[in-house]
This record gives sequence, structure tokens and C-alpha cells, in this order.
Amino acid sequence: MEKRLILHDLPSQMAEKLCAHDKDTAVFCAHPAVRHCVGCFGCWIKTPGKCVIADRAREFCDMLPQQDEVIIISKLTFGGLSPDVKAVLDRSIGYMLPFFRIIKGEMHHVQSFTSSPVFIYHFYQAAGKPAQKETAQKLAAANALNFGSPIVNMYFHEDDMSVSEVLL
Amino acid sequence: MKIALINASPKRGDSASKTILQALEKRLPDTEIIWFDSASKDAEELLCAVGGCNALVFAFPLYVDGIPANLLRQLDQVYPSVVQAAQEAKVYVLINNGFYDGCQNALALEMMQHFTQEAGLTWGQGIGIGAGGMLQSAPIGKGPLARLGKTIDVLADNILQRRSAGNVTIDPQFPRFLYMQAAHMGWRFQAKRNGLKKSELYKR
Repeated sequence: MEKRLILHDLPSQMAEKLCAHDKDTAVFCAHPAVRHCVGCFGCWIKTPGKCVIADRAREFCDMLPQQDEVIIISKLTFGGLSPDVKAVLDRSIGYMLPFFRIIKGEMHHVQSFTSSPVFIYHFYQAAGKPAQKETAQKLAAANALNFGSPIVNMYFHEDDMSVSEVLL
Repeated sequence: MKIALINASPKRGDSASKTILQALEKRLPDTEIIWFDSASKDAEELLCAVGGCNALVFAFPLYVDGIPANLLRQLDQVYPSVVQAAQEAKVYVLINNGFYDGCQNALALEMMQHFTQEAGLTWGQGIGIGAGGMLQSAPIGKGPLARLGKTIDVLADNILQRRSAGNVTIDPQFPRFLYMQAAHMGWRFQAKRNGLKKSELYKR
């Protein structure tokens, strides 16, 4: 069975259904919000791979390398992720190395691990926001490149979404 | 003319974003400048700070291809009501990233444009600045940052004339491979100062 990690900002009743799904699926709820990254780079130059802020955001970053899939569920917010989900990803840059490399003519970080999980994005409350969807598509591709993910899949949900739409 | 300079760097104290806004402030004479520090304040304070402003100028670093969560949270809270506080405001944005390529800020500029639209404000201009790591070690307007200086000159004029203009992304006038080498040396130096061996930077 493939291992997968779900990061989401869904209401608690739906989150309970996600948690009960199966033993190979780990769930990380983005709220209550984790503390914001403070831009200290400690995860690169003090405690490599681990954020210096001691809260549960560390668990998400620790779980990343073991996954086959990372599923990110977020309310579409200004063409990107919601603040709570974004706060978790901002705290996870210790997953990659500080060093740079060139990919397709652009600078990106060197990866710590030889393989990375597939990234799958679900954006909800996307009705009537075609321009924001376009931005979100580009964001998912850019995130996948920066996290070393070979494949990225994405889905938009017009209104709220149900758990069955995620756990296909 | 009242202008809000919103430093949205998650770092408290000095930062590349603050340096950029200080360079811009020098080019905005005879205006009322309101400084706002996102990292140490909340959304309600942001709404108060921008009250009656003609221009809102945001500066922040690119975080995971987007807006840092501290600012994103404040924008998500203020967008329904900010237009009442600053009805005539145009939004100008300066984003810097640690990569060499200024064009990698284009996505976050788009996100700020979506915020502007949802808030009912007017887009002024966005500037995407590559090689943010150089901003605190070289003078803006000279040498490798000469082009950035000229871009900020034009931005300041646009703000003063209440003009909108196309977004611009810029790289430093400095070889990319040297920037990369300098960055790598910098990481190793800082790690050593923290008592780490070179190999420990790669440890997992």
C-alpha cells in the first residue's frame, strides 16, 4: 500500500473522516495554525532538516520523506494556498538543502533526498475564479519543482468538497 | 500624499525587504510616509495603518513560490474592508527571492494582483527582484544593483504620479555562477559559525 500524507484546512468533522481512512494515510490538519516561519534559516544552518521553532509543524516536515504521495487540500486564496496551509509549507523548507542548482535555465534548491513524493493539490471554493485557477496551476507546478516532485496532479472543486473526492 | 510602506518580511529587524523600502522612501520626497511592520503586528493594525493612504507599497520575500504566511493571513483578513479604509489606494508590490532569477517572483505578483482585485483596490505595479541575498551587501543603485536602482526610480515616479504600469522582473548585473558560489560559501560559513561541520549540512 502506498504511503500518503494529507495536509488540509477542512472543518473538523471532515478531518475525522480523513483520519479514519487507513493506516497508510497520515493526516496533518493545518489548523489551529502553526507558528509562522521567521526567516532565520536555522533549518539549514543550525539544525539541518529541522525547524528551530518547536511546534507541531516539525512533524509535517519529518513525515515528508517517507511518503509516496502528498495531498494538499486548501481553500483557493488569491490564486494560492490558504494562510494555515501556507504556514505549514513555509516551515518545511528544511526538507531541501540551501544549495542551488540550475534546472531548465532557472535556479532551484538541491534536494536532500534522491526521490520525492508525488504532489496532489485540491483547491476548493474555486467557483467564478478562472484567473486564480490559472495562478494555482502554475503554483502547483512550481512547488513540485522546488520540492523535487516528479509529478504533480491538481483538482479544483467549485464549492466545498467532500472527503470521497479526495480519497479516490 | 500619504503612502504606506508595508514591510512584510517575516524577519524582525533588518531584512532585504526593509532595505528595498528604505531605498524607495528616499525617492518619495514631500509625502507622508506610514511604516508598517507585518511580522510584529496584526490585521487590525494593518487596516488602521493604511487608513486614508493613496498608495499601499508591500515588500516581502518569496516564500515557497508565494506570499509568506504572515502577510497572507493579514491580507485574507483585511480584503473585505480595506477599500473602505483606503478608497483611492493603488497597490504597489516589491518581492525579492533568494534565487538569481527575478522572474520566479511573477507568481506571487499574480497572487497580489488577485488580492487587489478581490479587495476592490487598483493595481499600481509589481517588481520582482532576483538575488535578494545581495540586497543587504551591495548599495542599491550602484554596480550589480544599478538596474534595481533605476527600476525603483521609475516605481517612485509612478507612485508619485499615481500611475499604473506593467510588472517588471529583474536580475542583478552580476554573473549567476558567481552569485551561486558566493551563496554556497555563505551557507558553509554560517553553518561553521554555528559549530557545524560541512558534512552536517547534508545530514538527514
